[in-house]
Amino acid sequence: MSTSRHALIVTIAVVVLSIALVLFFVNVPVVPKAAATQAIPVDNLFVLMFSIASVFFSIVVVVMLYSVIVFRSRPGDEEDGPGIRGISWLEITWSIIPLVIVMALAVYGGLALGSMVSSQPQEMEVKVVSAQWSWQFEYPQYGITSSELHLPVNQPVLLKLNALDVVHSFWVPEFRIKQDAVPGIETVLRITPNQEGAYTVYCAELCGLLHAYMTGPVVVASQAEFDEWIREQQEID
Amino acid sequence: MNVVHSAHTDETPGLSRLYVGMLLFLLSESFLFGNLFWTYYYLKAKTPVWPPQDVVLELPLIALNTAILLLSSVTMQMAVNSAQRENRRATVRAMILTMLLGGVFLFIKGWEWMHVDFQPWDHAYGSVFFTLTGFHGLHVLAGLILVAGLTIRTIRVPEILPLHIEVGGLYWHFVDLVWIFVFTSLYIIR
Amino acid sequence: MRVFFALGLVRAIIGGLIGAGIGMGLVAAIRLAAGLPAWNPAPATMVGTFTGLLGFLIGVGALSGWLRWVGGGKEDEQDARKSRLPDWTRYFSFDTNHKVIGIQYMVTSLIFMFFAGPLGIADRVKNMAPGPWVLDPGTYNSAISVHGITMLAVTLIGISGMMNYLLPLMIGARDMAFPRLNAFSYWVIPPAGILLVLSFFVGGHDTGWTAYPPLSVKAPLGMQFMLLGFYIAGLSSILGGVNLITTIFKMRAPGMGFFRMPVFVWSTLATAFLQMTFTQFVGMAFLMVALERVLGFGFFAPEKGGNVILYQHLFWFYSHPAVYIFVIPGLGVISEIVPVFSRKPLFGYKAVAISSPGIALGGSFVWGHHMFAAGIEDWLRIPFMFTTLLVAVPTGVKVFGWLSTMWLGKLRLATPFLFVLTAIVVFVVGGLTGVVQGIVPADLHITDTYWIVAHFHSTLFGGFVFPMMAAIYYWFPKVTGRMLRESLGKIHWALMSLGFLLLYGPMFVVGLLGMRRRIYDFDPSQPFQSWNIASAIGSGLVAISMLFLVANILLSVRRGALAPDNPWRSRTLEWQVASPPPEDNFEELPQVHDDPYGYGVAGSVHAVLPETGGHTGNR
Repeated sequence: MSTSRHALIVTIAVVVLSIALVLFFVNVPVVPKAAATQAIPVDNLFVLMFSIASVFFSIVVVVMLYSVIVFRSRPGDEEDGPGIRGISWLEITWSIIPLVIVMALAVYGGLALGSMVSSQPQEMEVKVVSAQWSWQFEYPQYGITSSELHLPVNQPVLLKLNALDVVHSFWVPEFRIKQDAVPGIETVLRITPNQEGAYTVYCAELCGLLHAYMTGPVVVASQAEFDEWIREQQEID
Repeated sequence: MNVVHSAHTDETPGLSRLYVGMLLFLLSESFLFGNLFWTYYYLKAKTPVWPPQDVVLELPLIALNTAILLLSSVTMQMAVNSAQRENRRATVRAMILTMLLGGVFLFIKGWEWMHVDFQPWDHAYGSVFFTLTGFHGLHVLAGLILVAGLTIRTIRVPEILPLHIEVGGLYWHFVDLVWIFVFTSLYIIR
Repeated sequence: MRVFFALGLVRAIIGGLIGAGIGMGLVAAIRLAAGLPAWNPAPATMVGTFTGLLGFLIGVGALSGWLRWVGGGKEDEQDARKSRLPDWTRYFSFDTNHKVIGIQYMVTSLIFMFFAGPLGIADRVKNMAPGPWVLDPGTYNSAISVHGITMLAVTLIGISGMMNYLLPLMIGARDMAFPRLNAFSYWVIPPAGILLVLSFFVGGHDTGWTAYPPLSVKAPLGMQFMLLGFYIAGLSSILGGVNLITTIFKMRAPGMGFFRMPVFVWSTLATAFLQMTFTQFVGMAFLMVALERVLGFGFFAPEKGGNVILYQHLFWFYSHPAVYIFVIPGLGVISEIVPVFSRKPLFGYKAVAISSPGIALGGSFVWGHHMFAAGIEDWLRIPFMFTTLLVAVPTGVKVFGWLSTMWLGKLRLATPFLFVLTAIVVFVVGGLTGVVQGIVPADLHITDTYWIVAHFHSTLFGGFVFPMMAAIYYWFPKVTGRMLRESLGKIHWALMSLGFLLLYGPMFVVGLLGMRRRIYDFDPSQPFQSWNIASAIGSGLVAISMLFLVANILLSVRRGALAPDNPWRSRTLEWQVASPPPEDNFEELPQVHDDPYGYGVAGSVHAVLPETGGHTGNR
């Protein structure tokens, strides 16, 4: 069989496998249900990158499997194969194309990051205090402190993260983005929850013996329910 | 003298492998100090008052110490030159002088350590001050041991080894060069 | 008995114990004189570590050669004494022959792998079910930390073994540039490894191998053992790097220009530069944490004006290039094996060769991608994202080169080649997932989750573990003069490949779904359990597969089929000498004419060997 024949079969197989994988990633949810506006560019990036990765993965696996089956040496054949040392245009191409792709991805990622960290109008500040092994949330504009994080839906929030003892990390998987809380420094995380519901914040940086259990309740509710909760907390305090 | 004549050895032509090895080792050691300088300048950039208020350094004394160390590089180079001219006595004399100057440097350093007003556990500045000067001092000490070894060998064996002494000189000059960076960072730029 | 006490290792252990005792006694005496209680484990073991190391080295005889040189003595005395002992004692002693040292490294690596592996498996078992069972949280955290750091040491030791054994042979040299330094570099490893193992038993450490302060400053005594143990292992890396580079620059056979060197030699060059330089950063960073622990220094202590993130910069400045140290040699092994079993030239040899230093150089500027969520300046994340993604390009050059070598070749599916095939697929998965992580917004979701654990185990298995298995099956005949059994090899390969898939595939899934890494327990309401059970089964399969390797080695090393000089018909120089090679490798140095990949190219010859008149090439 001629080289071009082999190449044609392989190309078809790569295309088929790639399409199958891309369809999978586009349709099967591999992440928890998104609950913040910041999750949108993250999830889009996942789908995009898994699709690109699927193409490259397909190329590698198909070429390898095909070679192992079709180009297996016949028993007793001690001869060498064709003495092809290289093909310049091909080598240049497979250096340039990945270069262009990754640079484009980096630009896209940078733009997405910019949109996620820029300050929003009328952000609500919440001070997060992390210590081995629990979370405290302070609402300066309401004068209350709680071990639960309540947030009104669609309200941009500026979380100011503090750590009293060791490095911790604030993460609600449904919100996607996480941020370390570092002793001696106040770090920030901007979140705009857009789905009402009950979530959990997990500490995502190994912080000692009970790191696994360092969690806290997160409640995203309507503005009215949130205001009610604030009033209750103020009465307690 | 650091060049190899390939007819007599397995080595490729050019610098001898001992010389190449030392150059590489010194490249590695520059990364060691790189870590400490990174620490110094990172903390400096992130700290409003740097050095802290209680830090008073004896610039004149340490400037003198710097001159002593620089002089020791001169004497070490004299040793290298004497070795290349096959003058064993002059080589040994110059290396002993180098060791004496190095020893004085360490003594003055130690005196400074005892007399500054801050300790390494007082604050981050103290920690990096003592660690940076301490690791430099350790390298001077290692250099003294190295030069001592070369001196003993030169005394005990009739055949002089200019290559080895030159490689030792490389190390000694490196330690001197690092000190210039340390001195500039801690005492001039501050 | 006389032989027993003549063994370097035995004398070393005695020397080490005496040295440690002296160091600890000194600390006790000083403390008593200062009016303090005599015994405090932290300073005592800190000083004892270094005096013990010195005692160990003196005991094994690592310093005597240099001291004798200073005194003007002769080299020969030591050799005369040694030749009265049986041959096998060389492997337990201070021996300057690079082949002995290479085997010492490889065996040591496997020994520590059999300690560190089960620790990881223990954690997989724990994660099969939520709630407290089988392990307590402290032991779990320690197991994860010790597993991590010991496996990294295993990798450093394993690559040193491969590079030390193969490099002089491949470049047509008789030994390394500095044979005594080479043996010294090996002998700091047993004390380092012992410290890492001991760390688990003296309180462990609950920080992960990354040892971030402030947690690492408060961690139990095991933390100190780990910090110092890895520091000492770092000495081996640094000195070994100097030796490898000097050997490549200065000891190549006549005619071996840079573009006639095997790719494994290029890989060694790139790796050696990385390990020689960046290791200084982790050594110093670990030492700085130790100084904070024992003496109250304040580099990373905010209350003393220190900075927590500074540690992460210093640490990752080494630890990212470190991962390229771990994988570049293995990728070099792949580049050697693919052409031999495809009977075709390595496609794009020059590009593949240059890609090793390319990866090393590119990988030097990406460390910030471990810190995207750490609290560094927002804008600083962007350049690191770009540099991180760039490293995909030289990596891709290698992968496409290998595939093109196989394409249209005549493939022989022997065990070394099977392991290489798995290595390539697994490494590609690792690399592609690395690109996903390189994009900051995506990383902010997956950092510190099991996705990351799956990613780096994919790159480590693809770039080190599977290639090292391939290397063992490939070069065992050369090293021992016997063949390993293909049947057992193929079972090892199949079980390990399947086991790997089961072990790490699920981790990508649970990571995306929200499972953090390094957690003793998980919430049963999260959908992790079935995936974790699959992982645990996979880990068991991997472990069982390794038993097949051990059995194969034990059966074959004395009773395996006798190996010809060149069973795989490879062109590189190590295959042109006897199996095992003679003491000084080559009677007369070879004359090199071209690169070693001219399979199927009419008239191509890698080198000519004057002593046999043979040449390695096409008739």
